Amino acid sequence: MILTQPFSRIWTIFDPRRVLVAQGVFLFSVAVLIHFVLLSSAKYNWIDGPYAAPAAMAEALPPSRQ
Amino acid sequence: MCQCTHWESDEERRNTVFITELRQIANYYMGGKTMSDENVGMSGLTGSEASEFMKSYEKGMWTFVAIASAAHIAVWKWQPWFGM
Repeated sequence: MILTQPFSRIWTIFDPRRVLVAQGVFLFSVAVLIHFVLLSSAKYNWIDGPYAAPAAMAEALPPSRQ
Repeated sequence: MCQCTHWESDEERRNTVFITELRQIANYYMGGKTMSDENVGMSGLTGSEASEFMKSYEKGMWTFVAIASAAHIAVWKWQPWFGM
């Protein structure tokens, strides 16, 4: 795609302050969500370390390296 | 000695007074610029202000991307996903 205008012109349309606040809230929420999802998983819990998944979950999981 | 300007018409005189007052208001309240002096978008930023903001925005964006990439590489080395 060929841009006929510099991309920075987006800031003449969207107010930078609102974009920064909205983007900050959004990225922080997504980050918190992903961290909690990983913590609740059997394989990627970095605090207690990976543990043997419950039987039903273990069938769906690839074998852990540890 | 008469310092006064001679106007062609009363309308021209009123126009000039009006423009002069507008310019004084712009100087006093708006940093010397009115919206017709530069192209101002819906956000209230001019093109040069927009590209100035873009510079610092990109710095922050690439810093974020760098930290996220480092974290992803570290986790992939520890436990790759997609069953690899």
